[in-house]
Amino acid sequence: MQGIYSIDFLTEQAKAWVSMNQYQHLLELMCVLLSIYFWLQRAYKPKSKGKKKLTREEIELACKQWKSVPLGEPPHSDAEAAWKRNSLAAEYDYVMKSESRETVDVADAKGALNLASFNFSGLQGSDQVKEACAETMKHYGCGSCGPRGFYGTTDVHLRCEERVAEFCGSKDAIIYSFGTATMSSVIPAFCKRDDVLICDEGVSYAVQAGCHLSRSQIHWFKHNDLEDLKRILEDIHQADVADPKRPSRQRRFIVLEALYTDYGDFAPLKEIIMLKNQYKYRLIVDESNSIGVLGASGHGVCEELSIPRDEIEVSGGDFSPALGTIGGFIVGERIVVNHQRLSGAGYCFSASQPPYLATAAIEAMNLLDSEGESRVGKLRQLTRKFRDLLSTGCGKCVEVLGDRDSPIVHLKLLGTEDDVELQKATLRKQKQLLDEGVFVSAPLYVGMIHKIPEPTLRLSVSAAHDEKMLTEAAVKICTVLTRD
Amino acid sequence: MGEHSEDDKYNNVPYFTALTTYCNYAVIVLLGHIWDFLANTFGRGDGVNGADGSDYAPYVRSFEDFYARRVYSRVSDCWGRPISSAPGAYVSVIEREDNVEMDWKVDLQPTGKTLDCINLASYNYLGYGELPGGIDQDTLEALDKYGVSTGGNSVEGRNDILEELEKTTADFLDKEASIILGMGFATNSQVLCSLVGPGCLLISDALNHASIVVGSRNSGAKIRTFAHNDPKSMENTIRESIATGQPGTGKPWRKILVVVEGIYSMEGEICNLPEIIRVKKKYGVSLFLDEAHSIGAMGGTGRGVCEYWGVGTKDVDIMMGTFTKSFGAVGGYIAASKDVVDLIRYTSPGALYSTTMSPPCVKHILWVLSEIKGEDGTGKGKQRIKQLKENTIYLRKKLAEMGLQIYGEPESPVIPIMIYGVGQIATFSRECLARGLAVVVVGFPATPLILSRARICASAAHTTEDLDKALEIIKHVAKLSMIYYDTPKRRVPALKAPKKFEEKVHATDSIFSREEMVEHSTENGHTVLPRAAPDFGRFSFI
Repeated sequence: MQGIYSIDFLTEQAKAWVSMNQYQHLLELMCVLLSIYFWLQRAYKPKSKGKKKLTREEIELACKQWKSVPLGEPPHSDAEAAWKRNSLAAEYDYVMKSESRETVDVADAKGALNLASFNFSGLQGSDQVKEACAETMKHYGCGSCGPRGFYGTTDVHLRCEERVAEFCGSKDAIIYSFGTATMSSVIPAFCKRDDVLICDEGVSYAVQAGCHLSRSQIHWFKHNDLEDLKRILEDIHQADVADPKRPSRQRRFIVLEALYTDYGDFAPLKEIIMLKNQYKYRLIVDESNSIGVLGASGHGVCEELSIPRDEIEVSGGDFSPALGTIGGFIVGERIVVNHQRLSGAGYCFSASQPPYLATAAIEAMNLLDSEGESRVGKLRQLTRKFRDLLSTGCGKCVEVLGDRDSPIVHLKLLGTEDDVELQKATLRKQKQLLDEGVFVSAPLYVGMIHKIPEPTLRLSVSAAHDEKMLTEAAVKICTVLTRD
Repeated sequence: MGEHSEDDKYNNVPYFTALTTYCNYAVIVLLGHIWDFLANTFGRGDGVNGADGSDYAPYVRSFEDFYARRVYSRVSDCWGRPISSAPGAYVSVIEREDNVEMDWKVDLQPTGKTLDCINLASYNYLGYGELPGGIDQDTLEALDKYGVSTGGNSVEGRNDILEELEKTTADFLDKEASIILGMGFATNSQVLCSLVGPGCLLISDALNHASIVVGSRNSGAKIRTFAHNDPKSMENTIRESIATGQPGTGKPWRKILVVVEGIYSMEGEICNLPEIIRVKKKYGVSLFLDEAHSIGAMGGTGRGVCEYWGVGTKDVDIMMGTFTKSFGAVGGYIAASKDVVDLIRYTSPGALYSTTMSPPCVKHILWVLSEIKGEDGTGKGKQRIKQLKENTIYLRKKLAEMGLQIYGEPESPVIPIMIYGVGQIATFSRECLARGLAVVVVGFPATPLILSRARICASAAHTTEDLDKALEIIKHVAKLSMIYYDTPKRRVPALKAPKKFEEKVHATDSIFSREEMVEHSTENGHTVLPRAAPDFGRFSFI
């Protein structure tokens, strides 16, 4: 036998070892002892600075010295900036004294034209809706006294879900009890750490909250900027080369609003759908404002683009702007909907929507199905007319923001760049407009969103308005905004 | 005071039950994997993992997906049962059956029949969810006068009745001001972020509700938890946190907010408010009290746990509560000093982006409040509160006599009955339903693996006859599902609490995936994230 396993070889080695001199043996022994010594030592841990054990007295002292910032003060710098801007509104008090429909009694103004609240299809205050709600209320009471899982689901909720699915042309639908809790629950239900969200900078708070709660990697692209989106998609695509399996492991979504609340413009959905198919992303679209606005009969983006609902994996939003009721909805494939029934925080852990509000949603959708075309048509016509009047009437000192067909009109006052000053001026104009009998909104924004929109006046056109009302309003608005 | 600590709950689990429960889970998981294997092998495996064979990642993570399909789907008929009536003393439950062969309970369809059940499931504590008391003429008139929704936010979309409700609520709770939001969940999840933020510390009870967890995470504040309803643990957490300051920099915290609940909805325990207030005052931290379940239901005049303990609401900085439960409506309130309410009104997303409460609900709550306060002179509201207390005590006494293991104080209207066994959850729920009793059952992941339970909510709407009938049913079903754990014969021996059980609990029932837990659970030996919305939260509570 050859090599190290042969008996001869081993005996030779053993003999050589025995014949070594005593110092060599001593050295070997020391090495062995040393290694045993080190092996018995505890693992070395670098001492961190903060981990110093404090004595009882030190803790007592620290507790005695610590003083809280008053609870009523903003907790951090972003909030402080928001507080500085927003608290200016505390000076004004807009309490409605009547139903909020095309006109409304606010504070001292009687019958002011309501351009403040979203009511695109003009369904707020519809008698047909109210009658149906009263019937439901008489049968089911006011609230539902329980979450959806625990006997809080009524057959009205189930009917409403079916109706939403049918209305949007999707396979399944789920309803939430509150608009702003919808998107912020859906996104974390699907996206977790390591997943990727590519998000428009202009999405409203609920969507942003959902993105943050998911703890996914968020990439922001410039508002409605396809080039920027493409750049991010390409960057991620390049990074995939090193790890080709990543795309099939990582959930990837592009997140948008169909019609942006805070900017009043539409997302270039057609192009984005092409991009998302090309780069294998899924799409989350907030349809809160687009139902009742987009599509020939107000059925949303899919009708507008003539694409099947399946092209958009997750879509939904707030019932409030278009349907005039409270709650939220998500439509999608069955797996998308069913997963939320177990994982959507706002669905599982909240009491269900009062049944009459679900009835209101059903009735509103019925109305849109039967009268959608005329309502959407009228809204579009009014919007264009109103926007034209505004841009010609007060072009110099005001910037009219948003797309031509968008019923959400943001008016930015020109002349000052300082946010607080601008906010102050905006709020003053809002008050002056109300004195003239036009109620417009001056939206406030929280401090912790990605990009805080500039202070503007927000006007929202409704199908319940008529041309005369809007023409008069436009004149008043231009007068008030152009005067100093 | 919490009669049973979490350790006690483990201590009370009989050895044999614990063993069979673990075996149950093992068998279910094993069977599930065998089914998956067969389905994948013999061609019915399309979409088994939510993947459609394309380049996209599956929508749902594999374990969640497995759990939903192979574990939850076996018992999914126990949750989400639709009803076709108001949630009163009795409720009509729509019968459902599975119309797809082989696929367990995934496609439940109504059969057209309804079952009239005694309702021990809804949070209808004072019976205001019920007809004819639940709707009065005013509410319907409010619908007519103010419509379904104001369409505006809490700054521009308030109407006069909402303003009145804000004042009434503040008065009712003896606070300077209040703000009303349209959803109870959002009152926590969209408000905490305006109170605390980066540089602040939020100290949360380990068993706080999911909405608080979402709100805390949303705020960006550092979150630490203390052992459930344990003021000592809370004090230690505060001391340690103040002494070490902000992580990294060691700077002192800007604000420290302690968040506790009045009644814990899954434990039935009332928070130990006097001790918590003592600690809070000693260290000068702020206190946020979520009274979702206790407002209206506790105290002689329905003013919640503060009244129950006889402490003033002045000692609680922020009183939060919902109108969903005792009031039979929807929405939530925050009552606090004026500057805090203003801060919330002008900087919180709940106020700035969300639609205000629906006017008929506002009117309904105003009506309920006037009855509770006795302003209508009929004394009906007081009577309801008294009735609720009597019903609660009666139910608890009878259930304990029966030999069932229940938790919580004698006056707490939330009564959890320990079931432990996973198979027994479904048995209990189905058999109760078949006999005409609606109860809520809860299991993993909303509770720790072996602490499954049923929960009943007492209501002022029930008469003694109703309760006797319900108790009779529970007696039969408890025998059938073998859950008499508290009879003298079975009382010993019990399972010892595993060491460091706290971490274990949190590892199992968090909304967050395991990796996230590891990352967050090590700081200062505290589990940083409180018990949260589990990923499959259908089992859980609101």
